[in-house]
Amino acid sequence: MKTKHFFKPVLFALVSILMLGLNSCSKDDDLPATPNDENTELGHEEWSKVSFRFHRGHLHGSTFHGSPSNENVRYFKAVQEISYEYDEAGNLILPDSPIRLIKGEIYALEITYFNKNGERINAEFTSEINAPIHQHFFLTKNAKHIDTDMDFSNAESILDYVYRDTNPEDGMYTNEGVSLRGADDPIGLKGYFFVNEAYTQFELNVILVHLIHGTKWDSNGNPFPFNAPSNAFLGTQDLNIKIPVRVFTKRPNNDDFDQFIQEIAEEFHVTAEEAEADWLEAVETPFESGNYWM
Amino acid sequence: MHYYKMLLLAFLLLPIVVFGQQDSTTIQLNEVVIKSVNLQKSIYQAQKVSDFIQQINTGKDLANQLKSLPGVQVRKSGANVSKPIIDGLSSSRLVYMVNGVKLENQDWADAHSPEIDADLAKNLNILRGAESVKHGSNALGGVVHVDAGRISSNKNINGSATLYYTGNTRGRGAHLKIQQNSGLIQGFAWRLSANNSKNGDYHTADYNVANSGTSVASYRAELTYKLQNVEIESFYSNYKSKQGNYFGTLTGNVEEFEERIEHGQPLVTFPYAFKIEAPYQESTHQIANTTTTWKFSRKWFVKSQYTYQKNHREEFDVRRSVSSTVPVQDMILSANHFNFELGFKNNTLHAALGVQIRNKENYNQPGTGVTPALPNYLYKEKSVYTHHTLNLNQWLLNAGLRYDWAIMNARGINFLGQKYGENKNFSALSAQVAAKLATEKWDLESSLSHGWRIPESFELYANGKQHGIPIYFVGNKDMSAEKGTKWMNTITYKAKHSRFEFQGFINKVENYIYSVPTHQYKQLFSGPAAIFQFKQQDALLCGIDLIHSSTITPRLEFTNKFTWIHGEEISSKNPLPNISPLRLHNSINYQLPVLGDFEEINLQIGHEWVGKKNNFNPDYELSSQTPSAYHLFNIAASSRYPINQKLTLRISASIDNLFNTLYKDYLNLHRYFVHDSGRSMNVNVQCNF
Repeated sequence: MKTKHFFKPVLFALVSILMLGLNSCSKDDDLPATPNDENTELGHEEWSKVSFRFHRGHLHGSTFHGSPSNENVRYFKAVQEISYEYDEAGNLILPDSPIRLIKGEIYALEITYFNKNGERINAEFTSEINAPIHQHFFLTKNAKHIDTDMDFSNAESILDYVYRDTNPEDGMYTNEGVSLRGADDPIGLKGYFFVNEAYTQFELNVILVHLIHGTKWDSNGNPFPFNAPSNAFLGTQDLNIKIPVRVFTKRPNNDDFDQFIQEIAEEFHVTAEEAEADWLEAVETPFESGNYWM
Repeated sequence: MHYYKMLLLAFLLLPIVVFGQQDSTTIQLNEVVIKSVNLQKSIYQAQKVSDFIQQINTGKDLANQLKSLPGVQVRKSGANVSKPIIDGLSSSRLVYMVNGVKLENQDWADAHSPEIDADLAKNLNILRGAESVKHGSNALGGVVHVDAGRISSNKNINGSATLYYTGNTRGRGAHLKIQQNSGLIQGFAWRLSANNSKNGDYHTADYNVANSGTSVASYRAELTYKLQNVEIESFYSNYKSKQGNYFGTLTGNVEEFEERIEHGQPLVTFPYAFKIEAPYQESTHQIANTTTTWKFSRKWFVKSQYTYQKNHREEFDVRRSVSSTVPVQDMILSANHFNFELGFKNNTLHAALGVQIRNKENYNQPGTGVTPALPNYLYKEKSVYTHHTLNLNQWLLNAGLRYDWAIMNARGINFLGQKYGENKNFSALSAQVAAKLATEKWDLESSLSHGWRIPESFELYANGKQHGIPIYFVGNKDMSAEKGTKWMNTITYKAKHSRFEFQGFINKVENYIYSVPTHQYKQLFSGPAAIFQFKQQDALLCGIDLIHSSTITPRLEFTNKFTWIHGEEISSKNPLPNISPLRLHNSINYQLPVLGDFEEINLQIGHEWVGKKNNFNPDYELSSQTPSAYHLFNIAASSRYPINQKLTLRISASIDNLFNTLYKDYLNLHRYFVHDSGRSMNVNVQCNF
């Protein structure tokens, strides 16, 4: 009996010390499992960079033809590009110069998204799953008379936009095998603007909606206009950027050419002669070299 | 360093062997000893949720079942995710004890509920006078006990089956318990429990809140074996929950974000849905535990406990490039606990000496494509403690000491691809003293406890947007441990037909950790997120609960509860964020023993008033306005209906927010964007067999 009673406490203590030892045998400087760098494994979940490329041009019917680009042109550029990307601390770098537009001109806008590895990822939006739940909208916000704090009364009518997305998304329309998605299936990675007003500055609010419920079409199967998304769309967005824009002059007629040159000069803080020389350099660029179509 | 700790532990274990041998000749009085030792008894008076409240709240989560208790408020994220606050403190400042096991939770953010199924509990209670010595680090605010109760001694298979319906969310659920004290093997008993519930979107008084459904599926198996003076208790539990995240808080730019806060409710609402879609969170918490208690002499016992826990948390978001079924957060927290306690008890003294080892590891599963919110980390804690309770006629006196050593080694890679983390060491002394005087008319209880808490890895290393809402948390890796000293007092006066209770506390917390908005925004491509920065400084919390109940007639009882709580930074006197405004609760209970075939009829009309939060620091809020005061009325009824001797029904029905009031609560993190829950008619039927 005594042996039995002695055995129990010893057994209990031994088992306890064993369990305790199992728990505590590891060292205090043990390290956790090596962390995985998720930033490189799937570098395409969030955008690292997005660029907006504005190309001045004209229409052949409804097809946009871009003006030729000339590296010697400093002010009256056919192509302007503005980008947003993260710096090393993860903050979004905002551009310090605006996009400059001219009333009466037509501007194609091509939006390109890049992942953390610098790879183009536009195709993610045009996939069979994502295309019905993604659409870019273009809103005019905070429109003022140029260089004043006065509200611009015709803000709603400054821009018109036509969706010109292609299939495949990276093909140029008019090339073989490239077709238009059509106005019924707007994405907004490509499209062109008409500029209807002059002497205004505003923020071009580019929104990429990502719908959780339903699709981008209304109950009648029609898409929403480029500047009037349903409120229901705005809950989840993949992009919401405000691009500073200045419409600083208007396309000249014969009798106001001097004013046009003068306004270029004032906008870029150069002399009228420099502005006119730049304009001449632009218009004398061989037109055939303009091979951008949308 | 390591060896001397092991030596110390071995030294502490030595008395067990020694005392075991010494008392080995006096073991004949086993039966008497077992009845006289009550290991659960404590000077710290637990406050228990009544059976009636538990019955009418079936299907609600833990926090909503506890909120009837003084000192408890609810921290919500929407109306479907909530966690209890005790005396102004929540999350890792509370210890959750589930069937005697310290829960290792993954509730580092406000949007995470404790992984506990309250419906499977028989006893829900809290300790406000924190037993920091017994329960260890983290018990700064209090302890929540969720206990299944002892298995019935009935030799036949018995149990209960319950069906319940929650009107507001059109939710339904069922739970089943069966148990038996086996006649085949003497001393052997078992119990199986299961609960399954699902709720759709919740409704405010005016609109539906999209994607706010929840589901819970939990199972538990328990075995106990008792042979003479040894009792072995084992259980395994598996709790799985899924909670939808309201997505209407997301916006595109800072102006819209501020406009949305200003608007205070969704711009667009969606029709009710039962299904939960991304974004949502899913967590599975498994516990396996064995506790052995051996009363090896008339006055001595030893208790050994081993627990393994595994939590798997996944958070899902709306994703574009990969399927939404690939989680954005996927982490496993596994933990091992070993507790050993040597106890002594006679008529005047209850003493215990214990050691505890607590190891846990967090591991982020690769392949999410999103930077984890937490680093991988190892946490190891070793503790020794002793506490003593002296019973002197009307007096109960208690004192205890505890020392903890802990390390936390963390390693992670942030969203910029940079490595972070380090090895941290902590150690601290905890202590408690308490006294209780019980007379015929007066009960006086006072306790002073000093405890501590290591910063959560989220508080140290957070650098990312919280799931569901556009709040971007930034941690501070240089923060040190919190240390709290809480003085809790309870004075109860018992008159013939009335009872008055005063509960008051003061809690001075050194290095109190909290997050406040910086009023700057992190511009993410998915829109702006308000930056919240973790900070640390000394804080003072204090509060008073006044409780009065009067028996107007033998069947009619009137109860009033008033709660005031205040928290401030000691240096600046600025109010702390997330401290409840004034609360008042009144209820009238009417009880009827019999009405026709119905028995134990209980009717209750309740009223709750919550004041407007006035003493707040606007710098610590996203909005300069706090929600208005509101009144809520509730009614509830419960009755027992015996079908035959072996079968009875327990039926209850209730209506919450009777007048469908549209309201917001200051303690709801989503108050900036949506309202709280509207009217809900609830029914549950329990069949006991």
